[in-house]
Amino acid sequence: MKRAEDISILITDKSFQKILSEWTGFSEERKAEIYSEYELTAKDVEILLQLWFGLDFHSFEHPQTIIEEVLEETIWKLAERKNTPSEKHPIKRLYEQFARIAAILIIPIIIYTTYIQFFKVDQNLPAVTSRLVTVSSQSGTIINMTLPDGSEVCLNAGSSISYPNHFDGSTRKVLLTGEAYFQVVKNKKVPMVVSAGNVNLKVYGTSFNVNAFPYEESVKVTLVEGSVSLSSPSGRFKGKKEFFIEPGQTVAYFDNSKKLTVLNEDTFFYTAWKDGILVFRNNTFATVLKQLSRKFNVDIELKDQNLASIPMDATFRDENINEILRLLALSTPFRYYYDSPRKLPDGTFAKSKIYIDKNKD
Amino acid sequence: MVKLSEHTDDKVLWHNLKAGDKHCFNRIFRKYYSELYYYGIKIFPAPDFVKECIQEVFIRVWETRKSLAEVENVKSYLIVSVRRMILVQKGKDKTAHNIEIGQAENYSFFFDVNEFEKHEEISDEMRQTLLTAINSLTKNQREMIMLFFYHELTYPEIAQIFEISIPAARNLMYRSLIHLRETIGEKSLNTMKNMFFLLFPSVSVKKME
Repeated sequence: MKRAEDISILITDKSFQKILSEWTGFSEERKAEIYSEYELTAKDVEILLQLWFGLDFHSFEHPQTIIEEVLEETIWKLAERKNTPSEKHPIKRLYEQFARIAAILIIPIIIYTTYIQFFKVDQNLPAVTSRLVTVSSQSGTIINMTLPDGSEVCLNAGSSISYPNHFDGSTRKVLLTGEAYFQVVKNKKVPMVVSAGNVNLKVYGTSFNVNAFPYEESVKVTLVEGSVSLSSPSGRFKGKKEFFIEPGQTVAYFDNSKKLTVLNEDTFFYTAWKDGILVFRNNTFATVLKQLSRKFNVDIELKDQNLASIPMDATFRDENINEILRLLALSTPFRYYYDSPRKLPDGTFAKSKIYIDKNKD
Repeated sequence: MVKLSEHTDDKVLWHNLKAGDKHCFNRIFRKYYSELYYYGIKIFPAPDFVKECIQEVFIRVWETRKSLAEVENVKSYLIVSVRRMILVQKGKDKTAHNIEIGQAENYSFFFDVNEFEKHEEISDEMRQTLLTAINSLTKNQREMIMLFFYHELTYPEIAQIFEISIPAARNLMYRSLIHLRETIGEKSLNTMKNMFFLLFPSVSVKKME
């Protein structure tokens, strides 16, 4: 055999590997034969022996018990795999498809539900989640109260106010029948909306009076300070949906004619009632009597309707009903008399009644 | 070392396995599990991961037994399968193993002196020198040394594993061996010098000067 490119390559040769393995047992003659056959020196063989034995890997063998354990586990896994056959794959694929669609849909759904949660609620006055509280004042009493946001309301006699037990969402909705004086806590982000009669008032923080008794033909709003905008579902003001009331102004909105009138009168005239002062400025006798009836909790019957439209100017502070009627009678031709209070079956007395009639003189 | 009958034995076992003989499946598993494990752990030193990969190879062998080809060398077939499985699963499980991956790959096919048998023909010092030389080879060269001297695969089988031509495989092997042979040659020359110095220290010092 010819000498190889490099002697080291000999160790990849199966027959030479055999020679190396048996080398130590060889006779000197056999060794000499090999030297000449492979054209090797004793030194070359020495190196090859070291290389060959140096590359003898220690055989690695797991203990039999571990091999059995792993084999058992493999068979178990195989059986498990069989129980979930490949027919399941289409279902799995279907599920994956479904999961993908669900993942795409989840964001729009979240956005939609949050929208519903935060914006839709405010479009209906009584919030779905919160309870509506109604406060009514009887004739003869004025109620001072505080709304859930801290705003103060002075509720005139014979009026009622409804509001949610807590304000949430983007507006503070309040429903008013009758008359009330508001001192609204400032909150630019959450305006208060007062619905009175057929009018909505948008308020950001201010003091104002609303007069919206059902028997009055107009809703009167008096702005003391701040800013209030008035709107009505059917009304338009100079082409705009909202009318901004200026401080010191009183605005009367007539729902029948959908007309709005600005009354440049002293705000005191409209807000005095909250301090127990009765102020009449060019009011008809009928209106005056209604206010007296409310304030003093008496029934007043006007027997002669000719008197109803008589205009009156007056201011009363601590006077009682008798004194007021006496003073009014001085300038107006009417007389008044009491009905004796009737005793009811339960032992209480009925509301006293006053009759107003034309003065015979 | 290799028994001549081994390949033919394996071929019979394989043939019966294909026909659905569970007993033959078990025998092949018992026979090669340790060897495959050792190889696997050298590719990627994560014991449980390697075990699962080997199990997966055997599971697939059984599941697809009807369509399996008759193989010339069962061991070589299994080694290729395990190698491929480890590389594929390693890529898949990157998130699960990623802490180990970066480091583990750097340890592929490095050997320890205890992994080689002790023989009279080679000194402990030389064994250590040879080991250092092996570990200084490239990763593919180290793997090839193992496949050739431990698993006793042939050049065509090794070429198949590395997906290179047979001459290329042979060439790579030769370069590794030449490097190792040179290391041994140099080392023995040095030891001879050292021996000389030990025996005649006075002479050697003068000579050196």
